[in-house]
Amino acid sequence: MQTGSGAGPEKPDVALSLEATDLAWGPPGRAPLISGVSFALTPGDRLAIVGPNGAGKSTLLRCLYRLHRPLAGAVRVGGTDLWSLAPRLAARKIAAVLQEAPGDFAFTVQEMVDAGRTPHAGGIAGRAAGARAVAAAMRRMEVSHLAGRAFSTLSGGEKQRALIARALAQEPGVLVLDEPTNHLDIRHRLEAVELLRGLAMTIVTTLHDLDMAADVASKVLVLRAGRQMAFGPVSGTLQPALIRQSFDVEAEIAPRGPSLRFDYRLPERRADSSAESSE
Amino acid sequence: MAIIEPAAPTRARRHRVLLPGLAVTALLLGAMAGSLAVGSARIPFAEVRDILLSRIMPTGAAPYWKPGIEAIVWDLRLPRILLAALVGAGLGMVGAAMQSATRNPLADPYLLGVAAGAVLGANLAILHVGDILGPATTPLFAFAGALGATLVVLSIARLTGSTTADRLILSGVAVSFVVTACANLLILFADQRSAANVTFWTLGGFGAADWSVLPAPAVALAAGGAWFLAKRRDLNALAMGDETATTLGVRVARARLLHMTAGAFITGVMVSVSGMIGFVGLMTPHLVRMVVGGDNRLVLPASALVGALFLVLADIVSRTIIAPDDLPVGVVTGVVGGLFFVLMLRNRAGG
Repeated sequence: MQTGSGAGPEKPDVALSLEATDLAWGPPGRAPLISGVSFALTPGDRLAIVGPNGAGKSTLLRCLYRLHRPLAGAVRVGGTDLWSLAPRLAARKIAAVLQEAPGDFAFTVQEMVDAGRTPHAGGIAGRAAGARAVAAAMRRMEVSHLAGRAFSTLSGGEKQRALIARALAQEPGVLVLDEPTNHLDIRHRLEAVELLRGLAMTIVTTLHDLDMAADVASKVLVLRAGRQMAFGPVSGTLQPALIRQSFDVEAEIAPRGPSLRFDYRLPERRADSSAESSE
Repeated sequence: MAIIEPAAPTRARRHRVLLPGLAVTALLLGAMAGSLAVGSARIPFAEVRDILLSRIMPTGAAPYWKPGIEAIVWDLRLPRILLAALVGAGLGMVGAAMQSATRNPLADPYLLGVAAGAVLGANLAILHVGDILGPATTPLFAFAGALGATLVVLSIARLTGSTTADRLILSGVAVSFVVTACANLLILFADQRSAANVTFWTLGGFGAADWSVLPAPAVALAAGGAWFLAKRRDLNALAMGDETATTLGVRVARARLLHMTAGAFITGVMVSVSGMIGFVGLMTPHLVRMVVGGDNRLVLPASALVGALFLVLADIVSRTIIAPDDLPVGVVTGVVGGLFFVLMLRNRAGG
């Protein structure tokens, strides 16, 4: 797969490399939720993190956007350890689009996107650059006409676009997204895929759907029960054996254009249920 | 499908904000002027105006009014009205900041136990300690009490492993009960006379205002306002959620602690000069957000303005409704605020 060559139309050189080495995190005093996670992305790579529910996908993301400090291992962005950076500086390198509901505060879309400038320095010059970045991000995500609308009155797709616009206004080198296609209808899901492929930055996203992962990503990381099952290019990595091990389903894979399509069925069970416990 | 976008949404918004802003400012000035004239002694507007002018720009012209009237306007009513405005502005602004910092539109200094702590501190100073630190004793004790209660609330929320905004409110209510019980205990152990005084003071009011009272709340409002305005982006980010704020580079726990401390400082000073005046901090930011949206760049100053207007009006009611006696302002705001709260619930259920 080509990496780093698919630069978008604007700002081709903002993408940063992202690297995790032997990453582990868990709540204090309990068993780690993820451990031994390692991957390396070159600038412009798009990584899909997949795995069954409870595999630790969101936990891994939280380590990447500096919410959880790793118990072991490290995250490096552009070659620098994430935790050696001041929070504001880190927020200028890595932006995140989360599923967190923004609460009850009547923010307009403009104000929402403007919050993306929080980590950037103020000053008169900074303010002008900030206004430009906000306007560009809103145009890019096609939410300019919604600027004065209250965020809470938007549709699911519009909300998602406004949140991505906020992340773009941060002008990051890495964009982290938590299930960006959840709650989107078919049309908006396809638009989201296209949009992610058009962004000129390193992208890490969790996804439920393997079809989607194959469409969006250049690389894939498979998690199961907090352990990394595989990491590598999508087509070479998502093989039937791995899918069976990770998701407990039988899968058939068919190439479709440049991408892949997956068919699943439940594994056949023997009369005794020993298969379950021996797994 | 595509809608033609408005040429400059920010400019349209500025107009939407400017007009109500000017209107509220005019209302506030009008209410303050009116408040100078009404009360147990009615004084004609022209006379009020001339007294003020002669005080601000002395011309040497012989006064045509009685010295008693001048004393009422200049020494009793004006400081009282200014105090009402300062306290209202402070509480309104703190309410807006705390609602953002805790990401809970129901947060205010009273629900979070901050005001109860301030009352405890003030009771201690007034009833049992005396002016050991000079005239600043009561404000300082009130601030210490408010800060103490805030820290207890924050550490309870932390100890129980729940830094979420909802739990913060619940622990605030719990601390509020305990602290209020302690404050009542202090009253029980004090002598009858000062206990009655303190009880009346606790109900909230500006009856004790004179010029010497004003510097403390003015400084608290200016310093706190400058702090919150400088941190308006952090407050916006916190209002959008803890994780989101983290991804925007805000140190969430530290920022919340700092903002709650600043809020405790302002609340402590305001309580020490006016007692318990509830609902201003809860109500005004809501009204303001309905008009200006959620951005604290506008919400903070607008909440100060509307809070000031509300308390100046409440004070007029409290001075006139059972004249010549004063009804505690806390009673007025409690009634109005409670009704407002019910309306808010109804609207939310309907919407």
